[in-house]
Amino acid sequence: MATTTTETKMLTLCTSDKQQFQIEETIALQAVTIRNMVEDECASNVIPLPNVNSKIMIQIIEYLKKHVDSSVSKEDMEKFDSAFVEKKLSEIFDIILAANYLNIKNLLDICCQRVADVMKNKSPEWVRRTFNIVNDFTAEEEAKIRKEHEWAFEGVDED
Amino acid sequence: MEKKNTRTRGGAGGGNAKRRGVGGVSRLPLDMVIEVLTCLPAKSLLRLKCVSKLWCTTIGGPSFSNAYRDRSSSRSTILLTYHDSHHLFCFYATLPCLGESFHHRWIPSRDKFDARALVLHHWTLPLSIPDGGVTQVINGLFCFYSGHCASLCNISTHEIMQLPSSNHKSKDPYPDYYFGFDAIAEEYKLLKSYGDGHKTKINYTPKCEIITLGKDASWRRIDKWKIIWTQSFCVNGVLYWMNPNRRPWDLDDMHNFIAFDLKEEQFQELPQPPASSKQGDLVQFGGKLALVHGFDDLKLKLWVLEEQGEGELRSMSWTNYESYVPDGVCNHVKWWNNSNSYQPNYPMLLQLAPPLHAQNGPDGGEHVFPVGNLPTGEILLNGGRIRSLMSVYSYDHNGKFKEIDIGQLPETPDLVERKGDVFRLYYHEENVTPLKDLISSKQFDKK
Repeated sequence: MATTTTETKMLTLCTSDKQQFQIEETIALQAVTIRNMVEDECASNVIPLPNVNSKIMIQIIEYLKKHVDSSVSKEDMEKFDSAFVEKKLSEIFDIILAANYLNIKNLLDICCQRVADVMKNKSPEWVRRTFNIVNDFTAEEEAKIRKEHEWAFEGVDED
Repeated sequence: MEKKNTRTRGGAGGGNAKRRGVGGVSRLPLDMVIEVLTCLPAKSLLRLKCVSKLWCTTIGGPSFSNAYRDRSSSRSTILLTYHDSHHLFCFYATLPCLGESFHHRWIPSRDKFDARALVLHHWTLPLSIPDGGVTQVINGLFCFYSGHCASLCNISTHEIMQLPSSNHKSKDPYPDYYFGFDAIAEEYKLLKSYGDGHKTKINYTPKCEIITLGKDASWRRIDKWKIIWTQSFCVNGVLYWMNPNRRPWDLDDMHNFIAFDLKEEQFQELPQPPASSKQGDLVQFGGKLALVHGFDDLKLKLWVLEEQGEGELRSMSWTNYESYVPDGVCNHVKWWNNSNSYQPNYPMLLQLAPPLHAQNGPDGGEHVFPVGNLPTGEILLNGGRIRSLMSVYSYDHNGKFKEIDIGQLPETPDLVERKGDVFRLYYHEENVTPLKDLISSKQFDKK
């Protein structure tokens, strides 16, 4: 327990599919959920993350590794972030769930913004399909809402 | 492509997630969907109200509009407006973020459009206000009026609500209206001035009425009144007028100011700025009223109305600030900060007009108008006239310059005809709260 140790403290994360990831503690602690776990009890143990699978964990570690590096300029970080979210929506959805569970606010924000950027010019039909939502309006009800906000339907992307 | 993935269905931490409703099979629980929705422009939200009943009530609900407002305040939208008696033209562009990195594009130029950077909407509101007008836009709201009929409009949602008409019968066909916001009481008020008969007649007796939006069912009389000819400018809960009694056909330079405190509901005469400032335009600077005087010898000249003393000894006076504007002023726009003397935290955004060949000689001075403010107090300055191409440089209070690529306004027929018109720029936070909630929410909070 030397105070000036150069040895990097490592943490082991265990995903839902029982894969183990050894990462530096400083990287992992950016996730508030992990930080709380470490502070509370399981500092030296393997940290179980039953809500995150290994495929998503790899991406989240990539993100955390970049963001722990204070030498990266703000501009480069923005570049990294915008490249990071260039993924299929299904993957972004998974990252949102994991980022929410792990409590990594900035990651959650950039992913939500990414989804919003993709859907901002989409039709309600596209959104229903993408979010698996059943339209529970009657045709009349829907027509009424459309009429109220007719201008908002201008310039919608083709599905 | 978006195949259902059941693996992570239980993965949302939130706890309060309702998986029913936003599709029992959707992988995103409602609280995450709401996170996503708060990132959308108002226009998209209105469209997505017809996705499902849950989305409709969610988007229209008060907790969503509060969350949206919180998120919206970290986004920057710039709103450009101008109007004639038949239309109000609004152009607005959403930038992903303002603040430290204000280097994003505003309005896309055709050849270098960055789709992620912004959404540009434009909206033409047909008005029928041949003898009426449009008030200042405050927090995305404004009033338009014609005669004794005034309406409130939310620019983000295009919602329009007619305001109660006056109880007092008046023959004055041309009342004027002045819109203001008292941030402390969170109240929007509309002041109305009218008289008996026509304003130009000698026996015209001016009257004033006021209505607190969302609170008053009808107009209230204000005992002390002024004859006002010019449009007001609201800063920090006070309406200001420059040369309020200067009639449109008056040629003489007057230079008097009056104020109307929205909380006290009282008029007040203000001191005149020194005689050297015969011309100028009103703007907000660091939360105070300022008179921008334009450029002279590469200096920006500004008079700021400041208050000294307290209580009975309280007095107002104008303080002069000037600052050198860096090189290249004539064609450029700069962030400017008078760091040596005043409010280091309030840089200003200046846009200097491109040389006005017709109006200015090659070395002629330009009259620069303040056209708006940013929320942090920066003044937006411009030649004040619509041009299809406008560019901006930012200059922060650390002395760093950044270019804001404004690019091109869309070439709508409306705009082509309007080139050269005077406009206002506003920093704009989109607000999807229904008007009836927006103007009465505070009232409910109190009770």
